[in-house]
Amino acid sequence: MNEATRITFNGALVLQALASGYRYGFEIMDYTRLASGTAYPILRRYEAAGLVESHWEDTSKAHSQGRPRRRYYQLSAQGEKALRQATRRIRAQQRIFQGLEPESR
Amino acid sequence: MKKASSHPLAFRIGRAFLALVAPLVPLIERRVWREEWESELWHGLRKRPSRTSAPRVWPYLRGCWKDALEVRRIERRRAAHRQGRPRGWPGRVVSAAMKGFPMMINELRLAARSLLKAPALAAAAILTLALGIGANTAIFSVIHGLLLRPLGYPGAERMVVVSTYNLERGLGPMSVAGPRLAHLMEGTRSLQAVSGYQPDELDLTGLGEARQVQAARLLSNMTALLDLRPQAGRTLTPSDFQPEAPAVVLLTDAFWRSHFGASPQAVGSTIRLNGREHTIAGVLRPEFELPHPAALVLPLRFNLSQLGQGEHTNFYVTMGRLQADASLAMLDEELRAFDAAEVERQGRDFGFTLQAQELRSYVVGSTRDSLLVLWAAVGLVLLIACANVTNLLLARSARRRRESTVRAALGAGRWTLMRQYLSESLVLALIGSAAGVALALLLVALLKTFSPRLPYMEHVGLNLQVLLFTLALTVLSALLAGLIPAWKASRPSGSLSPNARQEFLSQRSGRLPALLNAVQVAVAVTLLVGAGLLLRSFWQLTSVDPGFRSRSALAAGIALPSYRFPEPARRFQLMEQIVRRLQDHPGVRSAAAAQLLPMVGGWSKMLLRDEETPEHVGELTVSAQAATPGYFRTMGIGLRGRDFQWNDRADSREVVIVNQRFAEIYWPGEDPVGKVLPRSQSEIEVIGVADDVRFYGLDNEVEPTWYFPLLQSDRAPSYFRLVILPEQGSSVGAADLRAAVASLAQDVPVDVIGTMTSVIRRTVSRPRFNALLLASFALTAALLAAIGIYGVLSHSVTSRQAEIGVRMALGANTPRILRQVIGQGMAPVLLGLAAGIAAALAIGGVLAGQLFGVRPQDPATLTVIPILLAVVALAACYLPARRASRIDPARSLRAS
Repeated sequence: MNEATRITFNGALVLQALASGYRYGFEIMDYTRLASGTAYPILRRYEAAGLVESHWEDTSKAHSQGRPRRRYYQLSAQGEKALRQATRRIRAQQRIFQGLEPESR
Repeated sequence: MKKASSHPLAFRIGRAFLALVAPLVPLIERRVWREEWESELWHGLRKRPSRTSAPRVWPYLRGCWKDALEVRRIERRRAAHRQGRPRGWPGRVVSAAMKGFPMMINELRLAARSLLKAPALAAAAILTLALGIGANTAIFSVIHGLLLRPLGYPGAERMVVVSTYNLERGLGPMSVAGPRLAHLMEGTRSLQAVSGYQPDELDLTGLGEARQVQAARLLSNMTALLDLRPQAGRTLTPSDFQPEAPAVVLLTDAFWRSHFGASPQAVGSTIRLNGREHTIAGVLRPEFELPHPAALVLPLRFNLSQLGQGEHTNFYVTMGRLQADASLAMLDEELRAFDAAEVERQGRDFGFTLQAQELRSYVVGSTRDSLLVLWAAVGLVLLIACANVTNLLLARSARRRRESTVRAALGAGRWTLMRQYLSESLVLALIGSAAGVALALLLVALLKTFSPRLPYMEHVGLNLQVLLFTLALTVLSALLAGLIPAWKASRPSGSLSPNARQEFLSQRSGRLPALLNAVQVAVAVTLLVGAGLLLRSFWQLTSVDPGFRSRSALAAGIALPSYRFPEPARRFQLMEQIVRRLQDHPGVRSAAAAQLLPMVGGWSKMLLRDEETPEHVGELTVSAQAATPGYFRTMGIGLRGRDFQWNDRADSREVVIVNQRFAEIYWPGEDPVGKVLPRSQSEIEVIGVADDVRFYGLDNEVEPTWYFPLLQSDRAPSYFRLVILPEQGSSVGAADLRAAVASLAQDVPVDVIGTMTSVIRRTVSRPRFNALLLASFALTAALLAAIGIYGVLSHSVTSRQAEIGVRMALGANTPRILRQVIGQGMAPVLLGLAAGIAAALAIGGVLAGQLFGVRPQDPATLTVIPILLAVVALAACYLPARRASRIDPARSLRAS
């Protein structure tokens, strides 16, 4: 899919969580403090857009530990780029809240 | 592998919740989705210390359904992308329809094939529906052409016509006087634009036979109201309206086609109107229309600022367009204010008021009401037709139940079965409506030929909107007729046993057919009563004595236009010469001329003010007619005293003949002959009393009338009527009339109106037409109802053959069986008659406005019609009853 996906604020949070090493769905929800009805759909959308990749754990390894296998997510190269752009934008917007002049374009 | 959860109960609850939400996820993704969420749940529970675990996981689970929907959305998009399907719901509806279309066609084809197995039934149903739908289509095309069609004006729905009325004298709507129009044009809040035109009749010479054509002379600002765009040549420009501009004329499309064969050479050529050459500047589009039919359009050549002054104080048909935010009520208020200002300006109130009405209602007038009544009538006919088809299908549905039972056992749903049976009625309706459209074409052609002159009739026809209406009606009829039979047919019966007895007992369709018959009869009674009332009213109308006896007198109109005969004396002389020439013509018993003739059109009234009349009379409006000697003899109007003579001229003593009614009012109980009437500076002597004549129509009151000698008129008329009474058995006719006129003056247009008989017939043509039309619908309804009664009873007898056979075997004799069957058939008829009479009484008021000399609750009509219908129903019941009585018991029992 070649559409440019809009990175919302919440979306940026999710991407940042992934960049910070959180890989599992509930973990990401935990870290970003987003509701499950928000975070998970974002994950799905970004995966469909190619910003995020998902894999299942190795089944035998998980079962040997006596637990079900988990699905984990990670940023793709595209996702990293999107995160960088989003971070820059959000940081610039946050300067407004601090009463500072927004950065020159 | 052992995957014991740390909190088994919480885990199980969570899993159950996920199982509940899971169906939202597309099947392909469902297992994976569940696995992911259950895994997260498991791990999430493990993280928590046991004391505070389960509640904490709920916030994480709560939104899983949103995730499910998102997965669904993504999957859908992916699938659409894969298959190249359109995304978004409009595209999906269209693609679903296109996919479903071949399926629908297939179903219809199956339905048609199954109907072919019962050709008689199908034919009967198709014929019935064709009648109902065809009649409705025909009437709707008239309604569309007259009432619904968007008019060809810019902003047509906000167009109004302002007219002058004098309610005390019963005058109006009339054109608006120039000065008043000028005041309106100064500015009104409610009207965006207001202007006027003058209808005129012009002498057209040089293009074949000399004749008069209708024309309209427009004020210069009419261009703001009308669509004057040309289809050839040019339209009128402001310079055409200048006082010294060259004479130009615009042709209407119809005139261009009929007189110039739509040739482009017409533009730029000239025609002679009223003796003057006019250049044809252009041809208007076919959409151009005016409230009055006009063949030519000309500009009024004077400055608009002069309107209402001097010689430009004529009368104009006034049209205007409402502002977007104004209403007719607002305009009426403003007109009230105008009236008040006028009364102040004039110093006294003459009783003239301005009133506005919508353009369409000005043109269509009272036709609207009778059209709506007719539409209701055909709607009822369609209802009866649908009831018949329902009964036909019900008879069939009883047999189909067995088939339904089998199919239901094989897994067909109720809706599938119903859909199949409904598609059968749809096929019937579609074929029926095709036949109905053909019928409608015929009906519309008949209507256009035989109907009285209605406005906008040239726009009546089977156009797109009418056909769309027909399609909608077809689907509606299919549903109406087919729903109940489809419902009954698709009801699987209890068992599939091949027991014949059980099967045919279950063929009874209950009381519904009889009930439908009752409804049909009720509707037929209502329609027949309505038609009967209209017919009686028409009969009463024609039996009114118009007051003149010479029905065979021939009437014609003659124009002596002032541009050819500028001297009034010459016009008087010519008029006298023509009348004398005709009187001397062999075969003519008597001839005369008059300003107006009874019922031919036009009015002429005079107001006698309170001061001029005796005390007991007060203010009086008198009909004023002018005629030559011999008028009363020619028209066959009784006269006491003496008739006018040729030497009753402008220079001799003023004389008048009054009618009976005036004499009764003015000199009650006395002989008016010889009395004198004071009038302005002079006195007028009454020389004779004429019998009363209903001048303005058979349904109008006789008015007090004065007759003046035509030669004593203040202004010599340029248009007057001739009437000749042929000798008994002579063949004097229109040709002789024309020849006589032509021998005295060439190129004088003679407009032969016809005999007085045809004149009278024309005045009653509308009531006659309405009555005949309603009667034909009512008779159709009655016929359909009778067929319905016969059909239902016949089917009942057939299905009860064995039972009747048993009864006969047990000793019931023929009269008994006859009585029973006829009783069964007539029971719903009697119910329907009662209901129909009640309905007719209730809604009779609807027709009240169109009745003359008959009350809507006329007891004679209300008794005779039901009796007639009962007799017809009895005949319809007799045939099946006779068949029942002839049943051979042995054979019928064997057949079961």
